[in-house]
Order: sequence, then C-alpha cells, then structure tokens
Amino acid sequence: MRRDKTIHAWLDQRLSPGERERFAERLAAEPELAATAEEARRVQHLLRALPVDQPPADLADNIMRQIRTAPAPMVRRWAWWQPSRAMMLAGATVAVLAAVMLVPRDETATLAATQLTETDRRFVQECLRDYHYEVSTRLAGSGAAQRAADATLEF
Amino acid sequence: MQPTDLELVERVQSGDTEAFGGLVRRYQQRVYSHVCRMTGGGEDAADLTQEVFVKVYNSLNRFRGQASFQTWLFRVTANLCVDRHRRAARAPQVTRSLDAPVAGEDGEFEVEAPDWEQNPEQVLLTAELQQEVRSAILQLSEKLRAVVVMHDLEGLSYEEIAAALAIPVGTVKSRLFNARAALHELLLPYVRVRSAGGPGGK
Repeated sequence: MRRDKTIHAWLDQRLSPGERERFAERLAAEPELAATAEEARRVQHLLRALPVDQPPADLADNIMRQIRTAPAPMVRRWAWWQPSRAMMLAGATVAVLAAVMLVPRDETATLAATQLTETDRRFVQECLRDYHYEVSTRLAGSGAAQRAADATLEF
Repeated sequence: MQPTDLELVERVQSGDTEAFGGLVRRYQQRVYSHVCRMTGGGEDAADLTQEVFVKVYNSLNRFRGQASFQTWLFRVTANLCVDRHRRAARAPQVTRSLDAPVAGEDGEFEVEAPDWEQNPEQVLLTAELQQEVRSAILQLSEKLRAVVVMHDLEGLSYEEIAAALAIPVGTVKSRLFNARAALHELLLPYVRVRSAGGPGGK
C-alpha cells in the first residue's frame, strides 16, 4: 500500500482536479489508504521541518581568498583580427589560391571554367576583392598580404 | 537592482574576480545545506562547499548559459558529494537501527514521536528527532538521497533536478518515489497513524 504512486502525486499536488476528486473519494472509503497517505504526509513534513544548516560566518571570505590566488577563468572569444590568427588566415588563403593555380588545366577544366556565367565570375571576383581589402588593411606592409594581393589580382 | 546570475558570470568571465563574491554570497547557504544533507554535515561540509565554489570558478570559462547557473552549481555540488561519498565509503562506517535507543549524556533514551494530534504544520522536531531524520536520509543510496534532498528539502522541481543530475524526468520521479517509500519505512515509528482498533501508536 505504501507504494501507491497516487499518494506521491497527491503530496506534490500534481493531480488534476478530476484525479484529486477521485482520490479524495478513495481516501474516504479506504481507511488503510487514508492512514498510509497521512503517514506519507507526515514523513514529508519531517523532512521539510529540518532546520536549514547555516554555513560558517567566514566561509565566503575563505572561498574568495582561495579564488583570488587562482588564474581568472576568462573566456577567450575567437577573433580573426588578432595578428596571429589573421596571419594564419592570409596564409591559408594564399595556399588555397596557389593550389588552384598550380592544378594542371586540362580540357575538361577549361571547359568547366568557360561554363561559369559572367555573373558567377563577377561574384567570385568581388568576394576575393573584399577579402583582400580586409586582409591588406589589417596587415598593411606584410609579405603575406602582398602575396594574397598578387594572387587575387592574378586570378 | 541586484545583478542576475548571468550578469555576474559574464563579469567574472571578463576578468572581474570580485564579481564571483556575489555568486558565493547568493548560493553559499544552499550549497552548504545541500552538502550537509548529502554527507551528514560535520567539519568536512565547509571544506566541500569551498571545493564546490573553487571548482565552479575554475571551470566558469566553459559556462555558456545554456542551463541556469543554479542548475550548473547543483550539478557540480552533486558530483562532488558523490565523489566524497565514494571516498568515505572506503572507510569503515557504523550504522544504527532506528529502533535502537539513542545514547545520550545521561545514558540511553528513546526518541519520542511528535504529537501529530496538533496541527501537523506546527509540529516541531526535537534535536533527537532531527538526528533520526538525518540518519534515515543518510541510509538511502546516494542516487535516491540526492533526489529526495533536492525535491522535498530544497524545493527544486522535477525538471530542475533532472537538469542538475543529467537524468530524465521519469527517472527523477521513480527515484523520488523509491526514496519516499524507503523513508516511510525507516521513519514509521514516528509517523504511524493510530488505527481505531489496531495496535499502532504515535
């Protein structure tokens, strides 16, 4: 009887109005169930009546003292404009462009290239120009930027 | 106006270490109380609470706010309590039957059941009965104990407990049901309802 799940749903007030009404009828008709439900309610009361444990007064100070000696858990957000990352980005761009240019051009490739529409070609060129502008303004004077510029213009 | 948990977390993540003090002061009592209920209290409870906050601080750069800070804090607390329990389990433990008399300064005495005839909400627990209830909680397995402590003692919802313990809500319900059934058995001498013709008693 102590394993009647409805008692626990009743304790947590998770019964619908209809279920609550039916359970009340059962409680009235079944003394054993009513006794078990009352005991379950008393158990819950014993748990809730336990006093809250108070932490030592100096706990927060002790924690903060220890925290101050630890390195700060700062979040490093990914930023492409940081010099090292921008260099990597420029280098990767150059590598990709070089790879594209070094691939032997056979008839199929030429045919595929000629199948690009003028709109596609213009779009690709605009993208590369924008990207080159971003990189070169961030890395004015660096060799990587110059190589990226050369590759872009050559393309 | 008090900053929210997330605002304080973001300040810490930006390098403002002192903002963590706001989170400590806000949650230290709940964490300490949870630790006491999970471990039985004692001097270790403060150390373990400190360990919880230091661990939370050290891994705060991984907190992305997908769950609430409170849920995340409870998850760390629950995990550390389990670790501590496993370490303690290796040491020999003394358990006592709830029916056995409690040893007091003047010898042994029986713990009296509360007077349930008065308004149950006004029933106060004597120190001895509090000890019996704490002892009963500690006799539960750590899985059952975590759920019943979070729900019945700390008022967390099924969903919050599920998130904190990384288990489905259905598992929370079944563990809570089993924990309550076990506590009912363990605390029966103090909650028994006197039946009209039966032998029961307070």
